[in-house]
Amino acid sequence: MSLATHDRPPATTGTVAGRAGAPNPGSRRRRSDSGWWPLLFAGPFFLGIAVFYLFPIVQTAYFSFTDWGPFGGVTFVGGENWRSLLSDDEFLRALFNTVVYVLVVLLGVPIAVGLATLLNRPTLRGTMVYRTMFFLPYLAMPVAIALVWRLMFNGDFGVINAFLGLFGIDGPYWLSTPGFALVAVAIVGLWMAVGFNIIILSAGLRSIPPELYEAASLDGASRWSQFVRITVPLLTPSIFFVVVMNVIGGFQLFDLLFAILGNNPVIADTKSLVYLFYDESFVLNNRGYGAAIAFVILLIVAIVTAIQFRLQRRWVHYA
Amino acid sequence: MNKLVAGIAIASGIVLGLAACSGSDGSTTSDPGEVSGEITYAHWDPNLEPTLDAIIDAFREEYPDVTVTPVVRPYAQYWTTLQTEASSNTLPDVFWMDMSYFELYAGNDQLAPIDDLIESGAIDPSKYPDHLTEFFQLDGVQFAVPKDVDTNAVWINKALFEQAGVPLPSPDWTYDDFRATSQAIRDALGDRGIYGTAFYPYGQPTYWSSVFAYGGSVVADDGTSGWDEPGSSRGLQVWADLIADGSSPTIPQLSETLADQWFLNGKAAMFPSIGGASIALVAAAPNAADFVAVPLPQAERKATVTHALTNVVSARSKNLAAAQAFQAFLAGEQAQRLQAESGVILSAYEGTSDAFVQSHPDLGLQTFVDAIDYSVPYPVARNSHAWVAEETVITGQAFAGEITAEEAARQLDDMLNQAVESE
Repeated sequence: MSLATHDRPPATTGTVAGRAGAPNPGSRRRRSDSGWWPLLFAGPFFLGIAVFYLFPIVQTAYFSFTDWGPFGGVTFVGGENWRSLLSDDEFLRALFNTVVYVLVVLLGVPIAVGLATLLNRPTLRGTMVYRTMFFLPYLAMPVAIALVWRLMFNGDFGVINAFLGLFGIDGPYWLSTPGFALVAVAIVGLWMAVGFNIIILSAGLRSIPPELYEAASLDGASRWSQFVRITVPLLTPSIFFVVVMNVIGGFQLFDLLFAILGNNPVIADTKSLVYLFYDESFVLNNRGYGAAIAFVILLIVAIVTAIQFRLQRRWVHYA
Repeated sequence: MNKLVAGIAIASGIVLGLAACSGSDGSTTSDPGEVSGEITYAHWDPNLEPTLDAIIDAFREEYPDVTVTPVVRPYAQYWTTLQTEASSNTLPDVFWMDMSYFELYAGNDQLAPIDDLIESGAIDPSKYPDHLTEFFQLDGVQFAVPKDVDTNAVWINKALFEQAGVPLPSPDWTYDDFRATSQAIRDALGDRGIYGTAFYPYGQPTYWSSVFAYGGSVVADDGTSGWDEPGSSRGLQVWADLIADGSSPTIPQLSETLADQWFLNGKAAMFPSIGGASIALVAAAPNAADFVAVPLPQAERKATVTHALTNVVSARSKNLAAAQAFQAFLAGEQAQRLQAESGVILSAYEGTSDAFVQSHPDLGLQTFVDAIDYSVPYPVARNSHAWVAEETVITGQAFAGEITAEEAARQLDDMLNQAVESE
């Protein structure tokens, strides 16, 4: 963000200089021309945004004040959906579950920082192989991943409990015990996100000038203090980006949860916000209520992201 | 060889002739030659795909200008997809309907009536069990005839019974015998991780039938909850007991590994289930020779829930003539017999049950036919689809031992009565 603001001043001064340096009286017209051209080029993009994002958002806001018949037919009901939303235990539960999920997935960020640093060591052989291995989960279909993990988590016959059994640990029924089920899904989400995070962070690592490390080792800094004093601070822009993306992705949790726990009774305690939205809108056909939930998800993501952008000034260092 | 060829020629000539007859005097609109175009047919059973393809081929011999595209969808998303389609006027032309959703669709003008088809003789309602046909009527208008009759039975693994030295159940066994048998198998084979029983913790495949057997009901005659009847909680208790005894896997175990998987892999000796949902699975198992269906146990009476699916036509089909011609064909003897011969489910059409029983002669499918005599109608109250989902949450707590069966029945009673009122 602040990178962008750094870029802007020279560009603006350039335009101002150009304007000031233009002596002919037609400058006013030229100015309005340069105001319209960019819009024309950006037009198709804004049209797409308007049709596929802005209009549905406005429509969703409207629908959240309506009640739907079983096969369509909308009646305006005022703030009824919003009133019941605020007093709905299920909604609070879903909000709590989603926040827990996001927090667990965020634990993947330090893991990804560590792994990316290891993968970026110049002496490491076969970097591409490792990178591909870590990135593959991000490319695979979430539903396919979910099916495999479901087998692995199976309480009686799954490989995870068989492995724990080797150490004499009697593993829980991961997917049917309320607390464990959410954590199990979050572990899969973390595992899927780590590959994406590593790629972004690796790019960030490469932009750190090697001279800094040379100078530090000449001064006798240990590997660890190089990591803490040079790598992490200079990587904060990438870390910030990854955190924002993971939080947004985490709040949209649906497909993994649906595919792993969709037909398990434990889902009643483990719904995420988007799952609750799906359940209300499409299974129970309370589409007006569903629209209210969808709008709240949008608000929450927007607010959380805005807060992150404000807080970044305290901890993100742009070189 | 020549005789064989001649035989086939004659046989197919007869079939074609019959088909031509039924077409000429049977079709709603007019001549089959005048009906053309494309229609879609949505269902959820991949096991029936080859059968439905054969039925569509037979239909096209009669109506060569109609193209039927079957669309198979996973059951878990079938109803959400259908309702979304109905909201946007894009329903499939012909699709499967069950008893719990029928009133919602018929009552909101989504289905095309078949009264004209009956009048013209294209569909003959007298060929189907009356009580099932009557179900698909709303305010005096008939919307469909049943395509099948589904009843329940207990699948047993004869090999495991033999290894445990437990005698096979007698046809008139009771729920007490059932519990004791389950326990005896667990005692004998438990060290190999084998359970007596595995069950789906849901109503139609499992506990509705035991509720009926104990004289209880789910929905009373007046359309309100029947869970306050004493037999209803006794019917739930059966399954809570099995889990408490340890002769069945627990609810978490049954959630992560489904009952059919426990049974088909030789980890459970008994598996109560709905015929239509389980016969294809059982018949396809490598050790199918070990399996046989026996009647459900009895208590105060012998009882199984019964259910019928049906083929319905969208009221807004763009090709109503072709869709109704196909609907009538599906309800006819030829299509019903093909379905019965597949052995996936018992057809509703009179006189097709032998073909069904003979499809898998060693699986004891006659049990499902005999069960019709002691069958109890599928419980339907308004808003069924909404309360059935909530019901399993409460019964699950009872089976897990978190609440007593009596407490579960009380909660179910409140929940169901509220759901019925709210509609």
